[in-house]
Amino acid sequence: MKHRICMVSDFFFPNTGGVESHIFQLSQCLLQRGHKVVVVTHSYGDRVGVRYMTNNLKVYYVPFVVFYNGCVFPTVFGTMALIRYILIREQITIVHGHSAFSTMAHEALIHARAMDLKTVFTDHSLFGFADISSILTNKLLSFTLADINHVICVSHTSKENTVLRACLQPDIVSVIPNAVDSTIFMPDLTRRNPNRIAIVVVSRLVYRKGMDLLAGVIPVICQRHSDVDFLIGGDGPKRIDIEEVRENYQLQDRVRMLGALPHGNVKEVLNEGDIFLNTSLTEAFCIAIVEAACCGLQVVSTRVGGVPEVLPERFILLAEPSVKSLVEALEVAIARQREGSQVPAQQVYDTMKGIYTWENVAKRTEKIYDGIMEMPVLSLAERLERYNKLGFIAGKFFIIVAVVDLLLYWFFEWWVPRKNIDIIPDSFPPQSTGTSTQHMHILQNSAGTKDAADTCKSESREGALYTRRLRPRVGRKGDR
Amino acid sequence: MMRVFFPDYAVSAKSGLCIGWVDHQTHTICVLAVVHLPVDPFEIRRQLKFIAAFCPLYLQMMTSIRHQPLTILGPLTYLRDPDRIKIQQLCQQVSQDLCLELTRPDLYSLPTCTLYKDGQALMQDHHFILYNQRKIYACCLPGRNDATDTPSNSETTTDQYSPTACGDSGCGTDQYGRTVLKIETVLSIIQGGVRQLWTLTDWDISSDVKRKSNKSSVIHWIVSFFVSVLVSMATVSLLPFRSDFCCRLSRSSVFQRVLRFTQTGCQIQAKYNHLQELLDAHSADGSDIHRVRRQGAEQTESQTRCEYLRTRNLWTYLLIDMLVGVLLMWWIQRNNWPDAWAEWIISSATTTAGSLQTLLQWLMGAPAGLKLNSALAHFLGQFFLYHVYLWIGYLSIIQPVLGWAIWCMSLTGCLGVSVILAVASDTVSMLTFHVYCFYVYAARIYRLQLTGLLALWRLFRGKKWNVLRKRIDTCNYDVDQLFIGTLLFTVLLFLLPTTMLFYAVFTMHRLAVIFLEGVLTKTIDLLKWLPVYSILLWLTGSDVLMSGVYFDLLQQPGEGCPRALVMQVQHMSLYDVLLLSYNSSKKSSTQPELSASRNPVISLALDLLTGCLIYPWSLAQNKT
Amino acid sequence: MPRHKWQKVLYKDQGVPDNYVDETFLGELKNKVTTYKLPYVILESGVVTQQISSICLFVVLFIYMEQDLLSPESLLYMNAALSLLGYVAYDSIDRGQDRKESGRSRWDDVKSTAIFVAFSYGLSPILKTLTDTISTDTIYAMTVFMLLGNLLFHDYVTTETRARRPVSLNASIFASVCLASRLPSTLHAFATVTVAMQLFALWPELRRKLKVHFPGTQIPLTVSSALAALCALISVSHVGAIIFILIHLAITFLVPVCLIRLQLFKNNIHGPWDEAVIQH
Repeated sequence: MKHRICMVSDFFFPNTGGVESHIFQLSQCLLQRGHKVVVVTHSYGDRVGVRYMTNNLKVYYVPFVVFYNGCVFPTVFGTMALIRYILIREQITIVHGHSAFSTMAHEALIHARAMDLKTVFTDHSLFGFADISSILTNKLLSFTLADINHVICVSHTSKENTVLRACLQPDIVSVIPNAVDSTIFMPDLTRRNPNRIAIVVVSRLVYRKGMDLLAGVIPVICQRHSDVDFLIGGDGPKRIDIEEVRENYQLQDRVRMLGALPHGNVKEVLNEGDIFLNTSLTEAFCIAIVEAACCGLQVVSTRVGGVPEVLPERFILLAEPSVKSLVEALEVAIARQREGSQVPAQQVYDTMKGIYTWENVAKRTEKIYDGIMEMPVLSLAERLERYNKLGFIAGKFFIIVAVVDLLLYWFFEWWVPRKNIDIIPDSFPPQSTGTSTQHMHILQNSAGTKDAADTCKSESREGALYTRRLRPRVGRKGDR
Repeated sequence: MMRVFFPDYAVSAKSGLCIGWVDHQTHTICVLAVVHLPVDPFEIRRQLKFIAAFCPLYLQMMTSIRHQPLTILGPLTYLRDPDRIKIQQLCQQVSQDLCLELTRPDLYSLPTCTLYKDGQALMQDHHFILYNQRKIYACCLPGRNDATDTPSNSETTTDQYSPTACGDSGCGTDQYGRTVLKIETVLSIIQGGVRQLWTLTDWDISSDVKRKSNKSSVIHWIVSFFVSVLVSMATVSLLPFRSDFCCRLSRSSVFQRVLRFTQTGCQIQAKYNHLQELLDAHSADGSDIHRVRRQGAEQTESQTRCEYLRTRNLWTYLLIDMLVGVLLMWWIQRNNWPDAWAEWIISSATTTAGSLQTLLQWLMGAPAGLKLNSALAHFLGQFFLYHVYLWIGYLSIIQPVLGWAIWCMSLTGCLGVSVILAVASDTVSMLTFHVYCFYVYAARIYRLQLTGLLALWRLFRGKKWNVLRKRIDTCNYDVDQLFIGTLLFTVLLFLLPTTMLFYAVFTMHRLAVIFLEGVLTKTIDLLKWLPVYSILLWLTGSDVLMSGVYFDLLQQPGEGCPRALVMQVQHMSLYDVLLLSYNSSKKSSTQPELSASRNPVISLALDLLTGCLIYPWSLAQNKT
Repeated sequence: MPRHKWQKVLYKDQGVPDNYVDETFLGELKNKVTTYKLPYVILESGVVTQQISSICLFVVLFIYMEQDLLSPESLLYMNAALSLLGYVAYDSIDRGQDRKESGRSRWDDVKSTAIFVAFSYGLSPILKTLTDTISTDTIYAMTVFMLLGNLLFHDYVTTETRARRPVSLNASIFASVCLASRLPSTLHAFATVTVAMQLFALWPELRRKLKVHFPGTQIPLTVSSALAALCALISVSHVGAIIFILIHLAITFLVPVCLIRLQLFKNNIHGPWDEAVIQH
């Protein structure tokens, strides 16, 4: 069964991060499997309109106002007109939202429900239940997910979390882990220094990534082991803390700080090290440790979130989130490295390369799409009933929102009737002739880095036209 | 559809050979001149080739389209002309691929046109477009794309000439994919071609624009007269400055800084620079704009025209500036204003000083019911009162000489009214020097206090400013450090309202003075910027200021005669004139642009809040 | 049904659909309800009582000085004596262990004292006139707010000496500076600031150290400081004393009981998804 899927998220290239590359890679694999995929995101600077990325992946950069944290301003109804237009003209059957932080994803899911489309949501992050912001976000999530067809989580822990947060039936939540491109992340022992042991940290330098732990670990390890160096890639507000530690203990020659790394360079940095250290305080899946394991590094990580599920026990040393425990785990790893008793890099790679692949992710996602197409469409009464269950006041409020959205949809059906909207004919892309791994290699290069902007220069000029007038005459190049 | 551009005078010209420009791709033929008998066509062709080869500068516009040199297009005859056969033969001798043959029923009627291509007569429809060569030649094309929109009020034909959005290639593609020629290109071909033809002096040429006979308007002559007078005056007056010592002096940085410190100095320098520039231009070509154009080979036609306008505007500015200045000087001295003004200034300055004293007394009490720190307010008040006292003493010293000084200042009127205004601005800033002093003291104290508070605030948060790394570090403080910090913080915080009030009051004064000076400076700028010459040209309806063309229908297509149009010049609106001269003066201005990264209003407000010193615009510009 | 026992891992294909729900689902969910014991809470409320007592003492001392019942000289002598006493006690509690760790010599202490005395004495004329023009009511209102701030921001928990919260100290110094302007001489101002320093900077340090090394002293300390403050208050205002007693009773008994009661309504969901707290 071929589907027409619309991926919606605030986070997409040229922005970089886990969600962004997830959407990109998943879309590419789904395109390869013969589906039609369109990505909708908000505009980034002058990147407005329709752009075509690798493999004719069509991306709508919709001109919404960015408000906070890279998300659009939440208006609930303001996005209706444009999203409806896009969904109709692309003949979308499934709307797939990504990330609980993304306002656009939430709003698109609400609109898609009003239009009786099937909806899928992928949750990439973990939330607590304690503080006020997560309580509010959880309430909102329970609204958008109240009548969702299916939810995808990246780990079992994430699934438990999402089920609790959004009060869902656990059986409509699937676990599909993230993936890495094992053709990119390969061990390269020549880059290592055999005389010294390098501990690599690649992460944003923020509190949630446990940078305070790292700042505590560095002096202890450096003091006890004179042949251990640190290699820290990434940038963030906690960078000063690390730099202060480096200066206070005079470790400038042993702690190298590389600053923000483009995604393309991560592989080189990983291959320079022997041990990978992850100090995160919360993590839904942690793609970084998978990348590190693929490169054959020993992985030391805090036991938080979904981290224990990710790697087989042989490949990972888990520690409690305390300096003492992390130091102990690191010392075990250092001792193994000295003895040479760690699992050989090539063996790790061979094990890991088949586990987390994008093809696998796409296949499993496709299965979910197939499943939901057969699900019955909920009637309005059923939907309102579900909203009502969400809370005494919140339930009423959500009902009002949903009804207003529906009325708005009907208004637009009258104002801009369907028959006046250009329908873009389906052009399911031909199957790529190259092997998929080669193809993925190209994708990786275009993904996530600054070069992405250059690679995506193949975008058509219609994009600019589109934003100026909202009656788009787009898709000349890609669709006809 | 072929378009034949034909000069209107040539309708009544004698028979001869048409010289012009042809481009088959854009279906354009442009007749520029007619060479009459006796003629040697081979010689003409040789000369045309010579022009094409050795005068590439003239071909700037044309080469950018396609390298199409001027050629002999074909014969222009009338039916009962005795020389008709001879001319036709001559034409066929010289080249086999003539473009057109123009035949008139009699000497004074529109010719009918037969088109040829590669020796074959084309049965192609064509438009016959008459243009006035003199007007087209004189016109100044604005260098902006948006001002060249051809008004489409006359005929459907204009659609085909309407400029499309294309670069410098001179051609574009219309919505049907056909190559069309921009009308500006046609105009510049005419302008360029006419000038090329001046080299063919040996022949009897019918060309409307003779070499020296352009710009015959009255304004042109008047301005030229004054220019020559000015030039001689300026040459004499600038002579001492040409000496070696003066050159070195003017280049030294100290001298530059002293000069730029005052408005007057700036104005005099600007004036000197203008004169120098104009004299250079003048001595290079003696008011002949065509030679100016030759200097800038890379400049396009419209740019040189703008340059010409700019120079003229500058001359008129200098002229009017000086005239008004001299009149003003005369008026001031005749009515014996200096003494009256001096009296007025002294009295008003004394009043100001008195009111300042009152104000300070008020501030030392409880102004507006505010609870200030009385000790500090008293201290600051006494400090400022002493300054006012000094100021009053200073006033009494300058009182006897002030009238004389004003009289001397009025003499600067012979340098121009802008210099007088600049002197006035300087006088204002000198007379309000005490206000400036107050402002500086108050701002410094205020800023010091703010910085102290900020540093102590960091101390409470366990942070400190790392001077070497330019960042905020964490730091553990001792008890005594914390205690002293707290004590000082308390003191500074409670003293802040007092200093803030003094600062606010004196900043108001300062802003008022800056506003006054700003008005004067802006007046000077306005004078400099106002394009008097352009406005005069506009008022007299000169063809120089052209914003485009339009076409009038002359003759409907009928039996054997093509559709004939007349190309007319569309005059610029006043707004366009102002915009054009503003753009050209901005382009040539040597003053550095203020960094536009920050909104000036916001940055001013920020400066005011943080107690940074603010300066008038001119000084601020010099600082950057 | 899976043949093997299902594991909560991602790297294995366990032959179950992606939306499989195992019986171990949400097994790690914890509805954590923290249970407090009433005596413990009552005991711990002592730190708040002590701080309130300090504030009351400070206010009463000011009133004494304002009414000329207490001369600044005698207050200063008393201060000096108490400080010396406290200093000796501070060192002898842990037998100089803390001093060794922090590497602070006696000379440093002398220096600190000298700096403190010099600065506060030198600045006292300024401090006295600083808020002179502000009306007495405003001053009192500000003082009340500052002392409340001191109470609010005071660090009741930390047992480490290094990590201080300067906000509460700031607030109290502010209050003392405000009050100093209502007193007749600069010496009065100096005395007020010194008393504030002692009551809000040195005394809490000593109490903290006592609490760490001799937890048994807390009850007598609380009771004695409360009694001292009460006596002082009675001599000034009976109404104030009654309010003081009521507040104390509420803090010591009523509030802990409420806290324990309200615990029953608390429902906190915890699980592996929570952001980990860094363990020291």
